[in-house]
Amino acid sequence: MKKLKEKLKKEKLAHSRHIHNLKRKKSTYKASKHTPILQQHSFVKQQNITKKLPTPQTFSLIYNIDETLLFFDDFIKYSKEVDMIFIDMSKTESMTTEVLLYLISLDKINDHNDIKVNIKIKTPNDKSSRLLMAQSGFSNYFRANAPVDLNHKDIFTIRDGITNEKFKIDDGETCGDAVDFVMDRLGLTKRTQALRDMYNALSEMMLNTQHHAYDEDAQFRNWYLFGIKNSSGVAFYFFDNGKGIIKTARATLLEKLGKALNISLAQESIIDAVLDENKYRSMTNKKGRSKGMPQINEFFSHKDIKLPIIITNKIQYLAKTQESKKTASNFKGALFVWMFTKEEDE
Amino acid sequence: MSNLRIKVADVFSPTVKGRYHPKDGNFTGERFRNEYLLPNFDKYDKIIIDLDDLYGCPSSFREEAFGGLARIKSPQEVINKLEFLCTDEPPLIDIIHNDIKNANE
Repeated sequence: MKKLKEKLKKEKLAHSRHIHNLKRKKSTYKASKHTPILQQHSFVKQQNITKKLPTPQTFSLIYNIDETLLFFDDFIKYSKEVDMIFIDMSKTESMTTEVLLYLISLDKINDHNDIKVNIKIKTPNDKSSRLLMAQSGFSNYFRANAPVDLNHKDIFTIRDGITNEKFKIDDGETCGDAVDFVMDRLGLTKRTQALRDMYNALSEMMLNTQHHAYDEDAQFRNWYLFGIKNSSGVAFYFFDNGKGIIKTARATLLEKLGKALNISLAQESIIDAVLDENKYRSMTNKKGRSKGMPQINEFFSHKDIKLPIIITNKIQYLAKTQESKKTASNFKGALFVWMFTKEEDE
Repeated sequence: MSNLRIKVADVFSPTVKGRYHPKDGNFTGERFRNEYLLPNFDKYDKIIIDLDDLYGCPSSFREEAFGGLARIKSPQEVINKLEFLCTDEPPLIDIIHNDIKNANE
Protein backbone atom coordinates (compact mmCIF):
# COMPACT_ATOMS: atom_id res chain seq x y z
CA MET A 1 0.00 0.00 0.00
CA LYS A 2 2.83 2.32 0.96
CA LYS A 3 4.62 1.47 -2.30
CA LEU A 4 1.50 2.18 -4.29
CA LYS A 5 1.04 5.55 -2.57
CA GLU A 6 4.67 6.48 -3.31
CA LYS A 7 4.25 5.42 -6.94
CA LEU A 8 1.14 7.58 -7.28
CA LYS A 9 2.94 10.50 -5.62
CA LYS A 10 5.86 10.12 -8.06
CA GLU A 11 3.51 9.99 -11.04
CA LYS A 12 1.70 13.10 -9.82
CA LEU A 13 5.00 14.92 -9.36
CA ALA A 14 6.18 13.89 -12.82
CA HIS A 15 2.91 15.10 -14.31
CA SER A 16 3.12 18.50 -12.61
CA ARG A 17 6.77 18.82 -13.76
CA HIS A 18 5.67 17.99 -17.29
CA ILE A 19 2.97 20.70 -17.14
CA HIS A 20 5.48 23.16 -15.71
CA ASN A 21 7.95 22.38 -18.50
CA LEU A 22 5.28 22.87 -21.11
CA LYS A 23 4.47 26.29 -19.68
CA ARG A 24 8.13 27.25 -19.71
CA LYS A 25 8.44 26.56 -23.42
CA LYS A 26 8.79 29.68 -25.52
CA SER A 27 5.61 31.07 -26.92
CA THR A 28 4.45 30.03 -30.32
CA TYR A 29 1.99 31.86 -32.51
CA LYS A 30 -0.69 29.96 -34.32
CA ALA A 31 -2.83 31.20 -37.10
CA SER A 32 -6.37 30.46 -36.06
CA LYS A 33 -7.93 28.28 -38.70
CA HIS A 34 -11.15 26.42 -38.63
CA THR A 35 -10.78 22.64 -38.75
CA PRO A 36 -13.24 21.15 -41.19
CA ILE A 37 -15.89 19.17 -39.31
CA LEU A 38 -15.17 15.90 -41.13
CA GLN A 39 -11.53 16.08 -40.18
CA GLN A 40 -12.43 16.23 -36.50
CA HIS A 41 -13.42 12.58 -36.69
CA SER A 42 -10.51 10.22 -36.39
CA PHE A 43 -11.76 7.82 -39.06
CA VAL A 44 -11.57 10.46 -41.78
CA LYS A 45 -8.70 12.42 -40.34
CA GLN A 46 -5.92 12.78 -42.86
CA GLN A 47 -2.32 12.75 -41.92
CA ASN A 48 -1.06 16.27 -41.43
CA ILE A 49 1.85 17.26 -43.61
CA THR A 50 4.05 19.84 -41.95
CA LYS A 51 6.77 21.85 -43.62
CA LYS A 52 9.38 23.50 -41.49
CA LEU A 53 10.63 26.80 -42.90
CA PRO A 54 13.53 28.46 -41.11
CA THR A 55 13.71 32.24 -41.40
CA PRO A 56 17.03 33.86 -42.34
CA GLN A 57 19.43 35.11 -39.70
CA THR A 58 18.62 38.67 -40.78
CA PHE A 59 14.92 38.50 -41.51
CA SER A 60 14.40 41.77 -43.33
CA LEU A 61 13.41 43.00 -46.77
CA ILE A 62 15.42 46.14 -46.10
CA TYR A 63 18.72 44.60 -45.03
CA ASN A 64 18.60 41.12 -46.54
CA ILE A 65 16.11 41.23 -49.36
CA ASP A 66 17.17 38.27 -51.51
CA GLU A 67 17.30 35.67 -48.75
CA THR A 68 14.10 37.02 -47.19
CA LEU A 69 12.23 36.91 -50.49
CA LEU A 70 13.37 33.30 -50.98
CA PHE A 71 11.81 32.47 -47.62
CA PHE A 72 8.52 34.05 -48.70
CA ASP A 73 8.65 32.27 -52.09
CA ASP A 74 8.83 28.99 -50.16
CA PHE A 75 6.04 30.11 -47.84
CA ILE A 76 3.74 30.87 -50.79
CA LYS A 77 4.67 27.60 -52.51
CA TYR A 78 4.15 25.34 -49.49
CA SER A 79 0.94 27.12 -48.41
CA LYS A 80 -0.76 25.28 -51.26
CA GLU A 81 0.97 21.95 -50.65
CA VAL A 82 0.96 21.21 -46.93
CA ASP A 83 -1.42 21.31 -43.94
CA MET A 84 0.89 23.13 -41.62
CA ILE A 85 3.85 25.44 -42.01
CA PHE A 86 6.13 25.64 -39.05
CA ILE A 87 8.04 28.91 -39.26
CA ASP A 88 11.18 28.48 -37.26
CA MET A 89 12.55 31.87 -36.29
CA SER A 90 14.96 30.53 -33.70
CA LYS A 91 18.01 31.32 -35.85
CA THR A 92 16.86 34.88 -36.58
CA GLU A 93 19.05 37.42 -34.84
CA SER A 94 17.55 40.60 -36.26
CA MET A 95 14.24 41.37 -37.84
CA THR A 96 12.38 44.38 -39.23
CA THR A 97 8.64 44.80 -39.01
CA GLU A 98 7.74 44.75 -42.69
CA VAL A 99 8.31 40.98 -42.77
CA LEU A 100 5.57 40.61 -40.16
CA LEU A 101 3.24 42.76 -42.26
CA TYR A 102 4.02 40.59 -45.29
CA LEU A 103 3.37 37.42 -43.29
CA ILE A 104 0.02 38.75 -42.05
CA SER A 105 -1.02 39.69 -45.57
CA LEU A 106 -0.04 36.30 -47.01
CA ASP A 107 -2.04 34.55 -44.29
CA LYS A 108 -5.03 36.79 -45.07
CA ILE A 109 -4.70 35.98 -48.76
CA ASN A 110 -4.59 32.27 -47.94
CA ASP A 111 -7.79 32.70 -45.91
CA HIS A 112 -9.39 34.64 -48.71
CA ASN A 113 -8.45 31.99 -51.27
CA ASP A 114 -9.67 29.24 -48.94
CA ILE A 115 -6.20 27.77 -48.56
CA LYS A 116 -6.42 26.10 -45.16
CA VAL A 117 -2.85 25.93 -44.05
CA ASN A 118 -2.11 26.27 -40.36
CA ILE A 119 0.83 28.41 -39.40
CA LYS A 120 2.89 27.77 -36.31
CA ILE A 121 5.68 30.12 -35.45
CA LYS A 122 8.60 29.48 -33.19
CA THR A 123 9.63 32.90 -31.98
CA PRO A 124 13.25 34.11 -32.33
CA ASN A 125 15.74 33.62 -29.52
CA ASP A 126 16.67 37.27 -29.95
CA LYS A 127 14.84 39.17 -27.22
CA SER A 128 14.26 42.42 -29.12
CA SER A 129 12.77 40.55 -32.10
CA ARG A 130 10.42 38.67 -29.75
CA LEU A 131 9.39 41.94 -28.15
CA LEU A 132 8.76 43.50 -31.56
CA MET A 133 6.52 40.58 -32.51
CA ALA A 134 4.53 40.93 -29.31
CA GLN A 135 4.20 44.69 -29.16
CA SER A 136 3.62 45.40 -32.85
CA GLY A 137 0.12 43.94 -32.71
CA PHE A 138 1.21 40.94 -34.79
CA SER A 139 -0.56 38.70 -32.28
CA ASN A 140 -3.87 40.39 -33.12
CA TYR A 141 -3.64 38.53 -36.39
CA PHE A 142 -2.08 35.32 -35.09
CA ARG A 143 -3.41 33.74 -31.92
CA ALA A 144 -0.67 33.86 -29.32
CA ASN A 145 -0.31 32.17 -25.98
CA ALA A 146 1.67 34.98 -24.45
CA PRO A 147 0.24 38.11 -22.81
CA VAL A 148 0.84 41.12 -25.01
CA ASP A 149 1.27 44.79 -24.18
CA LEU A 150 -0.48 46.51 -27.06
CA ASN A 151 -0.37 49.95 -25.53
CA HIS A 152 3.33 50.57 -25.61
CA LYS A 153 3.80 54.30 -26.06
CA ASP A 154 6.54 53.92 -28.69
CA ILE A 155 4.54 51.61 -30.93
CA PHE A 156 1.94 52.56 -33.52
CA THR A 157 0.31 49.13 -33.66
CA ILE A 158 -0.45 47.55 -37.01
CA ARG A 159 -3.47 49.04 -38.77
CA ASP A 160 -4.99 47.67 -41.92
CA GLY A 161 -7.58 48.68 -44.48
CA ILE A 162 -9.89 45.69 -44.04
CA THR A 163 -10.17 46.29 -40.27
CA ASN A 164 -10.88 49.98 -40.92
CA GLU A 165 -13.62 48.97 -43.31
CA LYS A 166 -15.08 46.48 -40.81
CA PHE A 167 -15.20 48.99 -37.96
CA LYS A 168 -16.14 51.96 -40.18
CA ILE A 169 -12.93 53.84 -39.43
CA ASP A 170 -12.12 56.37 -42.11
CA ASP A 171 -8.65 55.80 -43.58
CA GLY A 172 -8.04 59.55 -43.26
CA GLU A 173 -8.40 59.17 -39.48
CA THR A 174 -5.66 56.55 -39.50
CA CYS A 175 -3.39 58.93 -41.47
CA GLY A 176 -4.15 61.62 -38.87
CA ASP A 177 -3.40 59.18 -36.02
CA ALA A 178 -0.01 58.42 -37.61
CA VAL A 179 0.80 62.13 -37.82
CA ASP A 180 -0.27 62.64 -34.18
CA PHE A 181 1.92 59.69 -33.16
CA VAL A 182 4.99 61.30 -34.78
CA MET A 183 4.21 64.68 -33.20
CA ASP A 184 3.77 63.12 -29.80
CA ARG A 185 6.83 60.87 -29.87
CA LEU A 186 9.15 63.54 -31.32
CA GLY A 187 7.73 66.32 -29.13
CA LEU A 188 6.70 68.49 -32.09
CA THR A 189 4.30 71.27 -31.16
CA LYS A 190 2.92 72.11 -34.59
CA ARG A 191 2.18 70.30 -37.82
CA THR A 192 5.28 71.01 -39.89
CA GLN A 193 5.28 70.84 -43.68
CA ALA A 194 6.93 67.42 -43.47
CA LEU A 195 4.08 66.21 -41.24
CA ARG A 196 1.46 67.63 -43.61
CA ASP A 197 3.26 65.90 -46.47
CA MET A 198 3.35 62.65 -44.49
CA TYR A 199 -0.43 62.86 -44.15
CA ASN A 200 -0.75 63.51 -47.90
CA ALA A 201 1.66 60.72 -48.81
CA LEU A 202 -0.06 58.18 -46.55
CA SER A 203 -3.47 58.98 -47.94
CA GLU A 204 -2.13 58.62 -51.50
CA MET A 205 -0.55 55.25 -50.63
CA MET A 206 -3.91 54.05 -49.36
CA LEU A 207 -5.67 55.33 -52.45
CA ASN A 208 -3.13 53.67 -54.74
CA THR A 209 -4.08 50.41 -53.05
CA GLN A 210 -7.70 51.15 -53.79
CA HIS A 211 -7.28 52.22 -57.40
CA HIS A 212 -4.09 50.83 -58.93
CA ALA A 213 -2.47 48.07 -56.90
CA TYR A 214 -4.89 45.29 -57.84
CA ASP A 215 -6.69 44.00 -60.90
CA GLU A 216 -10.06 45.60 -61.55
CA ASP A 217 -11.95 42.47 -60.50
CA ALA A 218 -9.86 41.79 -57.37
CA GLN A 219 -12.10 41.22 -54.35
CA PHE A 220 -9.40 41.56 -51.77
CA ARG A 221 -7.58 44.88 -51.45
CA ASN A 222 -5.63 45.67 -48.36
CA TRP A 223 -2.87 47.82 -46.91
CA TYR A 224 -0.96 47.63 -43.63
CA LEU A 225 0.66 50.41 -41.62
CA PHE A 226 3.00 50.15 -38.66
CA GLY A 227 5.16 52.69 -36.80
CA ILE A 228 7.80 52.44 -34.11
CA LYS A 229 9.83 55.05 -32.24
CA ASN A 230 13.51 54.29 -31.73
CA SER A 231 16.59 56.31 -30.85
CA SER A 232 16.86 57.82 -34.36
CA GLY A 233 13.25 58.87 -34.85
CA VAL A 234 9.95 57.29 -35.83
CA ALA A 235 10.08 54.55 -38.47
CA PHE A 236 7.00 53.81 -40.55
CA TYR A 237 6.21 50.86 -42.78
CA PHE A 238 3.38 50.95 -45.30
CA PHE A 239 2.69 47.85 -47.32
CA ASP A 240 0.19 46.52 -49.84
CA ASN A 241 0.42 43.22 -51.66
CA GLY A 242 -1.12 44.15 -54.95
CA LYS A 243 0.56 43.70 -58.32
CA GLY A 244 3.40 46.09 -57.51
CA ILE A 245 4.17 49.55 -58.86
CA ILE A 246 6.40 48.40 -61.71
CA LYS A 247 3.87 45.93 -63.08
CA THR A 248 1.05 48.47 -62.94
CA ALA A 249 3.11 51.29 -64.41
CA ARG A 250 4.77 49.21 -67.12
CA ALA A 251 1.39 48.37 -68.61
CA THR A 252 0.50 52.06 -68.61
CA LEU A 253 3.74 53.19 -70.17
CA LEU A 254 3.50 50.56 -72.88
CA GLU A 255 -0.08 51.52 -73.56
CA LYS A 256 0.29 55.28 -73.46
CA LEU A 257 3.82 56.09 -74.52
CA GLY A 258 4.82 53.07 -76.48
CA LYS A 259 8.21 51.85 -77.45
CA ALA A 260 8.37 54.40 -80.23
CA LEU A 261 9.24 57.16 -77.78
CA ASN A 262 12.44 55.36 -76.93
CA ILE A 263 11.61 55.15 -73.25
CA SER A 264 13.50 52.48 -71.42
CA LEU A 265 11.17 50.04 -69.72
CA ALA A 266 13.76 48.73 -67.31
CA GLN A 267 12.36 48.52 -63.77
CA GLU A 268 14.74 51.26 -62.57
CA SER A 269 13.53 53.68 -65.25
CA ILE A 270 9.90 52.91 -64.57
CA ILE A 271 10.12 53.69 -60.85
CA ASP A 272 11.94 56.95 -61.68
CA ALA A 273 9.20 57.87 -64.13
CA VAL A 274 6.35 57.03 -61.76
CA LEU A 275 7.72 59.32 -59.09
CA ASP A 276 8.11 62.19 -61.54
CA GLU A 277 4.85 63.96 -62.34
CA ASN A 278 6.11 65.12 -65.74
CA LYS A 279 7.08 61.69 -67.02
CA TYR A 280 4.10 59.56 -66.14
CA ARG A 281 0.36 59.66 -66.67
CA SER A 282 -1.76 57.16 -64.86
CA MET A 283 -3.81 54.50 -66.55
CA THR A 284 -7.13 55.99 -65.49
CA ASN A 285 -7.22 58.10 -68.68
CA LYS A 286 -9.01 60.80 -66.70
CA LYS A 287 -8.14 64.45 -66.29
CA GLY A 288 -6.06 65.84 -63.43
CA ARG A 289 -4.41 62.51 -62.50
CA SER A 290 -0.87 61.19 -61.81
CA LYS A 291 -0.23 63.34 -58.76
CA GLY A 292 -0.25 60.67 -56.03
CA MET A 293 3.17 59.06 -56.50
CA PRO A 294 4.95 62.42 -57.04
CA GLN A 295 3.36 63.57 -53.78
CA ILE A 296 4.89 60.56 -52.02
CA ASN A 297 8.23 61.44 -53.60
CA GLU A 298 7.87 65.04 -52.40
CA PHE A 299 7.36 63.81 -48.86
CA PHE A 300 10.47 61.64 -49.09
CA SER A 301 12.55 64.66 -50.17
CA HIS A 302 12.21 66.42 -46.78
CA LYS A 303 15.34 66.72 -44.65
CA ASP A 304 13.37 65.23 -41.75
CA ILE A 305 12.92 62.00 -43.65
CA LYS A 306 15.83 59.60 -43.51
CA LEU A 307 16.47 56.56 -45.67
CA PRO A 308 13.14 56.33 -47.47
CA ILE A 309 12.96 53.01 -49.31
CA ILE A 310 10.49 51.62 -51.81
CA ILE A 311 10.51 47.89 -52.49
CA THR A 312 8.34 46.69 -55.32
CA ASN A 313 8.53 43.82 -57.79
CA LYS A 314 12.25 43.29 -58.44
CA ILE A 315 13.44 46.69 -57.27
CA GLN A 316 14.70 48.04 -53.99
CA TYR A 317 14.76 51.81 -54.51
CA LEU A 318 16.45 54.38 -52.27
CA ALA A 319 14.30 57.43 -52.89
CA LYS A 320 16.76 60.02 -51.56
CA THR A 321 19.60 59.07 -53.88
CA GLN A 322 17.46 57.50 -56.61
CA GLU A 323 19.66 54.40 -56.44
CA SER A 324 18.06 51.07 -57.17
CA LYS A 325 19.08 47.50 -56.58
CA LYS A 326 17.64 44.61 -58.54
CA THR A 327 16.48 41.68 -56.48
CA ALA A 328 16.61 38.01 -57.41
CA SER A 329 12.96 37.30 -56.62
CA ASN A 330 9.79 39.24 -57.24
CA PHE A 331 8.24 41.07 -54.30
CA LYS A 332 4.52 41.04 -54.95
CA GLY A 333 3.30 44.39 -53.79
CA ALA A 334 4.74 47.69 -52.69
CA LEU A 335 6.50 48.50 -49.46
CA PHE A 336 7.33 52.06 -48.37
CA VAL A 337 9.62 52.57 -45.40
CA TRP A 338 10.79 55.86 -43.92
CA MET A 339 12.24 57.29 -40.74
CA PHE A 340 10.82 60.58 -39.48
CA THR A 341 13.46 62.50 -37.55
CA LYS A 342 13.37 65.81 -35.75
CA GLU A 343 15.23 68.06 -38.17
CA GLU A 344 14.15 71.64 -38.52
CA ASP A 345 13.83 72.18 -42.24
CA GLU A 346 10.98 74.64 -42.10
CA MET B 1 -22.02 91.59 -52.36
CA SER B 2 -22.50 88.44 -50.32
CA ASN B 3 -19.71 86.20 -49.19
CA LEU B 4 -19.70 82.71 -47.73
CA ARG B 5 -16.82 81.50 -45.60
CA ILE B 6 -16.23 77.75 -45.31
CA LYS B 7 -13.64 76.44 -42.88
CA VAL B 8 -13.06 72.93 -44.17
CA ALA B 9 -11.59 71.51 -40.93
CA ASP B 10 -14.63 72.68 -38.92
CA VAL B 11 -17.60 72.11 -41.18
CA PHE B 12 -16.31 69.05 -43.06
CA SER B 13 -13.29 67.27 -41.52
CA PRO B 14 -9.65 67.92 -40.58
CA THR B 15 -8.75 64.59 -42.26
CA VAL B 16 -9.79 65.05 -45.88
CA LYS B 17 -8.73 62.36 -48.32
CA GLY B 18 -9.58 60.84 -51.69
CA ARG B 19 -11.66 61.68 -54.72
CA TYR B 20 -14.81 59.66 -54.92
CA HIS B 21 -17.54 59.21 -52.39
CA PRO B 22 -17.95 56.79 -50.70
CA LYS B 23 -15.36 54.60 -52.42
CA ASP B 24 -12.35 56.62 -51.24
CA GLY B 25 -13.59 57.50 -47.76
CA ASN B 26 -16.03 59.71 -45.89
CA PHE B 27 -14.42 63.09 -46.47
CA THR B 28 -13.61 63.09 -50.15
CA GLY B 29 -13.19 65.83 -52.72
CA GLU B 30 -16.33 64.78 -54.55
CA ARG B 31 -18.45 64.99 -51.40
CA PHE B 32 -17.04 68.38 -50.42
CA ARG B 33 -17.68 69.74 -53.93
CA ASN B 34 -21.23 68.37 -54.06
CA GLU B 35 -22.25 69.36 -50.52
CA TYR B 36 -20.50 72.71 -50.06
CA LEU B 37 -19.28 74.18 -53.35
CA LEU B 38 -21.89 73.40 -55.97
CA PRO B 39 -25.01 74.25 -53.89
CA ASN B 40 -23.51 77.64 -52.97
CA PHE B 41 -21.78 78.49 -56.21
CA ASP B 42 -24.55 80.61 -57.69
CA LYS B 43 -25.88 81.89 -54.36
CA TYR B 44 -22.82 83.92 -53.37
CA ASP B 45 -20.53 86.42 -55.06
CA LYS B 46 -17.50 85.04 -53.31
CA ILE B 47 -16.83 81.79 -51.49
CA ILE B 48 -13.89 81.93 -49.10
CA ILE B 49 -12.34 78.53 -48.42
CA ASP B 50 -10.32 78.40 -45.21
CA LEU B 51 -7.84 75.50 -45.37
CA ASP B 52 -6.20 75.99 -41.97
CA ASP B 53 -6.13 73.24 -39.32
CA LEU B 54 -6.26 70.42 -41.84
CA TYR B 55 -3.81 67.55 -41.33
CA GLY B 56 -2.94 67.96 -44.98
CA CYS B 57 -4.60 68.48 -48.32
CA PRO B 58 -3.88 65.44 -50.50
CA SER B 59 -3.78 65.93 -54.27
CA SER B 60 -6.67 63.53 -54.83
CA PHE B 61 -8.96 65.56 -52.54
CA ARG B 62 -8.06 69.02 -53.81
CA GLU B 63 -8.05 68.04 -57.48
CA GLU B 64 -11.47 66.44 -57.29
CA ALA B 65 -12.97 69.22 -55.15
CA PHE B 66 -11.61 72.26 -56.98
CA GLY B 67 -10.37 70.83 -60.31
CA GLY B 68 -13.60 68.85 -60.48
CA LEU B 69 -15.60 72.03 -59.90
CA ALA B 70 -13.69 73.70 -62.76
CA ARG B 71 -14.65 70.82 -65.04
CA ILE B 72 -18.34 71.37 -64.16
CA LYS B 73 -18.26 75.19 -64.33
CA SER B 74 -15.19 76.61 -66.01
CA PRO B 75 -11.66 77.26 -64.69
CA GLN B 76 -12.12 81.04 -64.99
CA GLU B 77 -15.47 81.04 -63.20
CA VAL B 78 -13.99 79.02 -60.34
CA ILE B 79 -10.93 81.26 -60.06
CA ASN B 80 -13.23 84.31 -59.90
CA LYS B 81 -15.60 82.81 -57.36
CA LEU B 82 -13.31 81.00 -54.88
CA GLU B 83 -10.84 82.66 -52.58
CA PHE B 84 -8.46 80.55 -50.47
CA LEU B 85 -6.95 81.13 -47.05
CA CYS B 86 -4.13 78.94 -45.75
CA THR B 87 -1.67 80.27 -43.22
CA ASP B 88 -0.55 76.70 -42.38
CA GLU B 89 0.80 76.14 -45.90
CA PRO B 90 0.65 79.32 -48.05
CA PRO B 91 2.02 77.66 -51.26
CA LEU B 92 -1.04 75.38 -51.23
CA ILE B 93 -3.10 78.26 -52.65
CA ASP B 94 -0.97 78.41 -55.82
CA ILE B 95 -1.08 74.63 -56.12
CA ILE B 96 -4.90 74.68 -56.00
CA HIS B 97 -4.99 77.49 -58.56
CA ASN B 98 -2.89 75.27 -60.83
CA ASP B 99 -5.29 72.36 -60.26
CA ILE B 100 -8.14 74.62 -61.34
CA LYS B 101 -6.35 76.08 -64.38
CA ASN B 102 -5.18 72.63 -65.53
CA ALA B 103 -8.42 70.85 -64.70
CA ASN B 104 -9.12 69.93 -68.29
CA GLU B 105 -5.65 68.61 -69.12
